[in-house]
Amino acid sequence: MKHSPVDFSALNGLDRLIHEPARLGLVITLSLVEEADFLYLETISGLTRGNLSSHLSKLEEGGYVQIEKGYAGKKPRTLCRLTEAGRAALEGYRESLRGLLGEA
Amino acid sequence: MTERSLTQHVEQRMQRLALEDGLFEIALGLWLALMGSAYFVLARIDLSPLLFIPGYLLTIALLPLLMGPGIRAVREALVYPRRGYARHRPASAPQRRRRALVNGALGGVIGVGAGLLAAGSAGAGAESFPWQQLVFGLAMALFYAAFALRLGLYRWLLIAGLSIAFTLAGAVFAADALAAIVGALALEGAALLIMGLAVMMVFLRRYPARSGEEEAQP
Repeated sequence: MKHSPVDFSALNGLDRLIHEPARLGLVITLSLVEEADFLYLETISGLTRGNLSSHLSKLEEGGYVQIEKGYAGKKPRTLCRLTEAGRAALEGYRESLRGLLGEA
Repeated sequence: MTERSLTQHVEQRMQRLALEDGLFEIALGLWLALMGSAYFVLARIDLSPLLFIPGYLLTIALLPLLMGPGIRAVREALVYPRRGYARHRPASAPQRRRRALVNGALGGVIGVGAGLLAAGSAGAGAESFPWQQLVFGLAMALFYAAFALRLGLYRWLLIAGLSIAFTLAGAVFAADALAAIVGALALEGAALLIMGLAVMMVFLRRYPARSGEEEAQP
């Protein structure tokens, strides 16, 4: 008897911008704070500066993260915040995973 | 690891990161030492217990407000350039209720303990004073132990043990109630202060200061 293959097309609905592990970690971190600077995200994620910069740029391009360059005293400080779109995307991703994995 | 548990994992990492600089221990140590001093001063003024307890509770509540600007300045100068800066989201209603419960319990333990000790030192039940002091020390130790286990900060179990040791020593060796309570608070404060400074030294070595140019990447 020939079995038909399992249809994995439902997985295509996952938000790939968030699905990447490092970006998911960054979005979760930013969802727990009002704002965090680049150094804090580097410390908590353990990512290299180059990797972190690249992931943040992608999240910014997707409209999920707002990046603001400013100063703390005389030192430059890059502040990152999760946008409303980013927060909604995280919630959507959470719901998608629950649905796909069959969890309540 | 599911996404939900990843959120909890990140949250716990953030809590631990916030306590890695030792500032919490330093601030609490100073607070206890100042509480001991306030107890000494208020007891010397010889207020009645009815005035003493509210006066003492007010002093306990005001001290953190006075210490706040100094702690913020240290964070800006030493912590943020090394570990980075994050502003946490305002607490949700259940979190606020939980925090109020914990703060209320701690304030209650200190207030009731101070009241019992004030009554003991005033002579009403002076014979039972060592027991009152031991109950107070034990309650403080339980608070430290609960904090240690909740956050996985096992160094606080040492402070819990020291709290019991200091109150025992005060009950046995102190000349009077005032010396016992001031001594116990001062020793607990000093122990926390030393621990906080040691933790901060480790923090400063572990996280060297970064220049602003390095930080401003994207």
